[in-house]
Amino acid sequence: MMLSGAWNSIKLALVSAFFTSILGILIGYSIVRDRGKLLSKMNDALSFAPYIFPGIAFGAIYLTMFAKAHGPIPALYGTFTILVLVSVAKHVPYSSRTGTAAMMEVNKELEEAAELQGAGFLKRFSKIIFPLTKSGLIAGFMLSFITVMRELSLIVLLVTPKTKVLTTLIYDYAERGFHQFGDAITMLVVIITLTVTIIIRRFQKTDLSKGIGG
Amino acid sequence: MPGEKIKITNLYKKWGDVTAIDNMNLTIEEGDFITLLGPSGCGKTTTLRSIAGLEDPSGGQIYLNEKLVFSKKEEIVVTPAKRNLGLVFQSYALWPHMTVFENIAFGLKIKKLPKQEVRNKVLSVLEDMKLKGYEGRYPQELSGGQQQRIAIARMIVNRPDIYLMDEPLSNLDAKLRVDMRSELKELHQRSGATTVYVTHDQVEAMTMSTKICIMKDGVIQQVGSPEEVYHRPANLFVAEFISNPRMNFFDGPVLSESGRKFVNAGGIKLRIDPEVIRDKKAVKVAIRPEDFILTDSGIEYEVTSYLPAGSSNLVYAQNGNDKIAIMFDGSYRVNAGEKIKINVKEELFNLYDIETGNRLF
Ligand SMILES: Nc1ncnc2c1ncn2[C@@H]1O[C@H](COP(=O)(O)OP(=O)(O)O)[C@@H](O)[C@H]1O
Ligand SMILES: [Mg+2]
Repeated sequence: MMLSGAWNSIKLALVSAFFTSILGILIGYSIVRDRGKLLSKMNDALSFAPYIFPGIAFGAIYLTMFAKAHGPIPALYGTFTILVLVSVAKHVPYSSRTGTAAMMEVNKELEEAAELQGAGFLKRFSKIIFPLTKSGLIAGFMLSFITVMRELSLIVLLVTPKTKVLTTLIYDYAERGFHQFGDAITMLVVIITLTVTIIIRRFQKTDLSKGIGG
Repeated sequence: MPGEKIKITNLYKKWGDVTAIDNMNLTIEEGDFITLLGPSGCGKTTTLRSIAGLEDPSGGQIYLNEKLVFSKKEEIVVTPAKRNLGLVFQSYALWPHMTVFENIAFGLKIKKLPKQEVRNKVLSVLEDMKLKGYEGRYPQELSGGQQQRIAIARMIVNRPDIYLMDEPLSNLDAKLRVDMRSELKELHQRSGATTVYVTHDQVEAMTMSTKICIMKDGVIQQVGSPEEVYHRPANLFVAEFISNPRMNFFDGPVLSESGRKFVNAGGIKLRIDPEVIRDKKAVKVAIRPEDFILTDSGIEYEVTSYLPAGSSNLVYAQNGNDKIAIMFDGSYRVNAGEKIKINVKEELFNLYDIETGNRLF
């Protein structure tokens, strides 16, 4: 139970953080590159929507939205996908902030220089934008990872026994009076979060000193 | 006969209320080294970026090699990569996370050239640009002058047939700037690539170009050879802008004497064609400092200052309210307070309409 919970938690946090930070940088890109255009204004406003709803309400919305199949979208209730979906949606506003800040640092001429040399969007993104925004991207990734690891209210309505994560386990144990179990799992969450933070920090440091030529 | 390499017709670019390019028509011939010259904000960069395809003009057409690459009406936009041109940005826009080698090799790798060929080409360009031995360094570890060479190397390694350069020398110190002028000129002669060069420095424009295009507020003022724009400025703006050392201007009243017409330029009587002057009461006269001569029959001026500069001397002199700058060759000596008699060399003056500022003669 605890092992599968830990695995679910880590999986959820990793996958959500991955999509959250990638989306964050893409939104940041569109905001910074067509500043002033309608698209970027809409983007700016829309990506803030999830700030407004409390997590549990957000979860409830998703619960009703995806309880039944709609056209090509299957019923997602009880799947891992819906947990990722709701976590990503909840955290994109934060990561699009970091993404925008990171993109502001990239002079658009750096990208245009690559465009003139024949690099298409994917090449420009992977060879120029991504390397130059990497530290922002990693910061966004870490932030999402940690918050998803600690998230309860958002997903409590959406988990089923199969997709239980650590925080919902803590909640279960606390409800049933098994406080020691709850405390142990809390410790586990803290340890996982810390470990991942340290690993990423280490990776980021060596990489930066190599990349910028120190 | 060389072909039309770049042709711009009725080009507009507006940013809200600001018109950066105002109905531009310009033809650039194959092999030209044309300089877009004008004060900051006159639309030089916007023009260059429009040719490159990085800007979306509000109207007009652009042809490269007589092929339409941009047309607002026909909704034609050829992407920058397909225009076969290279651009050196004012900021250089070198990629800070790539070594010098990787910066220069980037375009070749995109084209999927074999590794060995990429290596050979990059090393050969590095040698040409005197950057040998720096291939493993990062751009920010190198000096401004070296960074600029990397930016040029990155452009020429792809062998584009049009070079676009946006104030490439403006971030360099004075000595390096002078050296680079001749290097860029040699580069142009070697490659034969049609070059569009942007600067706000008239000396740079005069020394490097085969053609100069002078702009103001998004409007072309004159296109011509360096000699033409220097000796025959099309209007008062150009006369004033191409003015190193300074141009002398006089508000000259028109005099009529027994059917002949003269204009008074600081006491000097210049005979002019009645056809040109018509019934105008006054015109603006512009005379370059080097177009005066010393002559006993001249008008008397008092020297107010003497500024020797080695190969030439600049003399400031005054006659009543008229102050002028005169350039003499380096051997000429004179002291402040001395009187000199001067005249204007035959026909070496330009007349402008006071109202429109356009050249009459
Ligand atoms: N991205 C932009 N947004 C708004 N105005 C711009 C932009 N780029 C240039 N301009 C304006 O267009 C005019 C011409 O600019 P530019 O082509 O950069 O001039 P130059 O290169 O001759 O100094 C200026 O008034 C400038 O403020
Ligand atoms: Mg400019």
